[in-house]
Amino acid sequence: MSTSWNRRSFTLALAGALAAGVPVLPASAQTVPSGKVTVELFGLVTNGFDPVIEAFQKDYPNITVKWTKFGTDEFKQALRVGAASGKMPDLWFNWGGSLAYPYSRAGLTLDLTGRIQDLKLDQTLVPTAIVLAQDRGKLYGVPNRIVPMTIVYRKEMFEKAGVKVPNTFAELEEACAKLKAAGITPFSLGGKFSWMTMRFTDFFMEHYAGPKLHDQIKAMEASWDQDAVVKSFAKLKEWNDKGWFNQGFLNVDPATNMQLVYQGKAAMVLEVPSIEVTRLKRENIDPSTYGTFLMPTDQTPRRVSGFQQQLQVSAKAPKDVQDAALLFATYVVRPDLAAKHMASIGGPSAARGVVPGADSPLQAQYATWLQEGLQLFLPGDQALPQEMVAAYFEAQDSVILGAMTPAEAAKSVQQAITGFKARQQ
Amino acid sequence: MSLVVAGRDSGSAVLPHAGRAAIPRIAFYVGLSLFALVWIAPVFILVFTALKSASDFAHGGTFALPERIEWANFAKAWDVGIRTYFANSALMTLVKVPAGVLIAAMAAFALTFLRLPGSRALFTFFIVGLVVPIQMTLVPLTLLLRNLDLIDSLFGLFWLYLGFGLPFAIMVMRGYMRSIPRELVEAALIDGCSWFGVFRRIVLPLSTPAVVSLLIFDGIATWNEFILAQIFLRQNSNRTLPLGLVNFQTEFSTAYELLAAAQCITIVPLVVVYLFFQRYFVDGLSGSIKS
Amino acid sequence: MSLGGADTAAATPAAGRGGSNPLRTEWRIGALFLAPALLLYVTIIIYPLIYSSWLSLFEWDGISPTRRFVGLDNYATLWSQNRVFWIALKNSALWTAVALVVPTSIGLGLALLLNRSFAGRGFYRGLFYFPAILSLSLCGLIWTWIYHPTLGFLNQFLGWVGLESLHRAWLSEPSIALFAVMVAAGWHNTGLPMLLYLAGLQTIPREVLEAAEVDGATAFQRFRHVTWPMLKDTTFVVLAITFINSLKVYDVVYVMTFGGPANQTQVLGTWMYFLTYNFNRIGLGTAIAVVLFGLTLIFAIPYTRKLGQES
Repeated sequence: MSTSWNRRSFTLALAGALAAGVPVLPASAQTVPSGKVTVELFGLVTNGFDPVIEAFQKDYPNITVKWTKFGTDEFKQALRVGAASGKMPDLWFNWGGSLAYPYSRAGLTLDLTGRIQDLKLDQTLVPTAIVLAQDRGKLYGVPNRIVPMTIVYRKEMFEKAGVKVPNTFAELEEACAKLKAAGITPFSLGGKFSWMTMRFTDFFMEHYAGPKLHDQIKAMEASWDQDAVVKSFAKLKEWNDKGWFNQGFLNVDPATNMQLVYQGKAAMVLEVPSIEVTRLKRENIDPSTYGTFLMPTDQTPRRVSGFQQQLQVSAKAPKDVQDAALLFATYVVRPDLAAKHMASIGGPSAARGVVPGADSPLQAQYATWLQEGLQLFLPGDQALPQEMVAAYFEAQDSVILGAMTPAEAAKSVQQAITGFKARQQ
Repeated sequence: MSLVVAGRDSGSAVLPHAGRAAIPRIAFYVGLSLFALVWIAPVFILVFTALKSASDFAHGGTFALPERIEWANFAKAWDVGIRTYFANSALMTLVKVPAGVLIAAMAAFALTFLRLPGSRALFTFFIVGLVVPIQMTLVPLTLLLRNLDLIDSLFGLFWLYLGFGLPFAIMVMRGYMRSIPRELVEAALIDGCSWFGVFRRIVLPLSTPAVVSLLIFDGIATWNEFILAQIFLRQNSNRTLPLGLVNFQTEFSTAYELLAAAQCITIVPLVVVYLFFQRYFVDGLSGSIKS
Repeated sequence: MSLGGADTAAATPAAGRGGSNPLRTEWRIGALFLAPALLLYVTIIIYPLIYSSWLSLFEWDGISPTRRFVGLDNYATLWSQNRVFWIALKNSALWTAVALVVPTSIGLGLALLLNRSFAGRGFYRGLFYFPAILSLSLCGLIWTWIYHPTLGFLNQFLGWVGLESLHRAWLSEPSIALFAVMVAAGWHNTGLPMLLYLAGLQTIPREVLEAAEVDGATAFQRFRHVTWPMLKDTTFVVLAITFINSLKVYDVVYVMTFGGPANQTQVLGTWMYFLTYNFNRIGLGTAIAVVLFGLTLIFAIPYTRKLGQES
């Protein structure tokens, strides 16, 4: 398998790979350090690595993983402070895209491109995971999880409003209108931090621009000052004005978005599949009373927004520490263990052939779609450089507030991009 | 001779008239109590949230009464990590605050009683520190602590807290010390007391109200400090309470009831300290703003 | 050593106390007493302050090993190209103006009220001061929850008393969001003025007020002509502290609105943070910090001068 996947192709040829079954493949090709080694690992409190580390240290008693957990913003900051002060950890969690490349481009991340074959990553991981993790065609980490966005809806609300699961964009709008007429807010979202609103803007852009143009827009290769972007902003405004989002959502904490659904005031959320575990089950909700469907983009292929999560090794760490760190990174997705690890790190796994159990119907449904070849595109906040993300968010929220027209918003983002590109030279 | 005058409680500026009717008095109490109730309501909401179970909270929202009172939230919040953060914060506060007050008292003593050239300019120089936005110092401090290998260490943070606490402490101490009669100091010197003796035996004891109110102010500030801790601490075992709370918030991002319980635990020591030393607050500060 | 210093020293009786060169001894002892504070202060505040100002002349992402000298370009960018900087500047000015008047007046009112002698006075003092001992970010968290448009206490309460027409998305509407944050901050920031005024009231001799009362002055007249003038110094301290803290405000806005919606509630403190830590523009962020520092000096210079002169 080639390592030069186009970042934009994002082809997911999972079905065949999964049908072939789980390859039995221990990490024997890797160097296991012989002496005592301590690996410092940074990640999120939500990563769920604790049981994985415990098992790892049992299997490799000479390696100690010093695990430090952070909240999301604190984590981003800890990496920045680490980079600025020359004190990066040996191994760290990361998302992809613009959240990861400042570190690889500063030469802080170990380049694994040449080792894909010898680590057998091409055989053990789903291709999409690797594609999403790449920066300029090079791989700087071992992905362990794919996180797609999906609509999760409460079945009871759909029944109450006489709504069927929509399969086209028009049907989705029809469903929203019906729900609204029945006194139910179609979507509950938390717009504080802007990324939850962005999921909708991204979706509209995919709908209006289609996969190819959408990717070019997000890669800043095509201008934002164009019809598809303007239409997307306009649609966002329209949905807002029709009351299809919860009242005052712009500054609502994303963590509080489920309550309205529980209380029967809203019907749907645009969320990651793991809310099944982090929210529903924890809050004593039977996940089978909820359903999920793909965002109807009316485009072929029908893609949803999503990203991968990976572990990156420090390029500055001593050789034996690097070996140990890499050993752990691959251990998380080792074919014989990945299914077990997914229970704590969350699904869907980046390892091939791992499907959640039937007690997690939403996640299982999603894994099936992924197996059937579902394709993903990077969400705006990873596709764009962080500074441009700010311009995107500001434009989007300004449209909702009525402070900018959709056309002005599209122009303002393009203006920021032009300035950014000029500064890069 | 003590400056903490117990009798001050009766020294109010406006004495109630003996002949005043009971009705205005009742109206006064009712009005004040109503205002107080509104004032303190947010705290009640917090405590109320902390007493709900997860599913109660998710389904019922803020205003609904809980089905049962969930005292276990406190124990749970304590066990999942608050305990460590609490211990770190307590250690930091107990060591840093007295050290900081002592250093500030020494400086204020020199600035007040010793005849030093440029002591006024030096005081102004110290006061500038009150104005510096803390964010402005973070990048250089990162490089500094890196060079000293003090990143992710409570000991490293200790020095930063000491530094940032100084301007306010020096201002308050100097303000108070100026109300101490010079003659006392001079008399002691003539009696053969050393400058250090004057500081330790005369000025410091006489400054008790200022010292105590500073201990409380600085204690609260240290206990609540977030930005520096956020930048310079990493490991879970090193984290202080405010920092731990934020990570706690992410880990249980949806568990507002646990978060609220954790927040209540954070507040308790503040309340205790405050209730215990309340009367020193006013006395200590009054000296520092007199001219 | 300046002559002026020597003159003052000679004027004190202490200087006449034995010793060959008391001034030199005093200087040495003074240096000893001052050394720890001075050393810490210079290392931890002054040196970073200067170094940071220097960094504002560079284009640097804080991550890559190289940084590019750009002179005053960052300041020019702020001035002409950074729209949010102007929003932040305007908001900071508004914030400061409101903070100088509202929490301080409430603090004064409470101090006057709680300076009267009545049973339970200590309890009420404690109660009204209470929010001030919480961290500002915790206050922000509590109030965010109260303001939640659908689940929060405020809107639910309004609905309960039949005032649904007053329902607002308190933190999402740009016209009211900043004021909503100010309420939360004011709740926290009233305690200190109250305390300072209580302290100030104690310095007013009771006899003066009693004399005024005997002369038939009304309560308002007594306040206007006796109390208020005598609180002049306290007021100055209160206003100075409020001014400085208002310009530096950061955490409560960060927690409650995250500068949103659409950056409409950014203040200088938060925008500086966002540029530095979220968008990796260290130079531009520190440039804001320098501007902020400069603005604070407007009040800080007369303040420090006054404090210095009193001796």
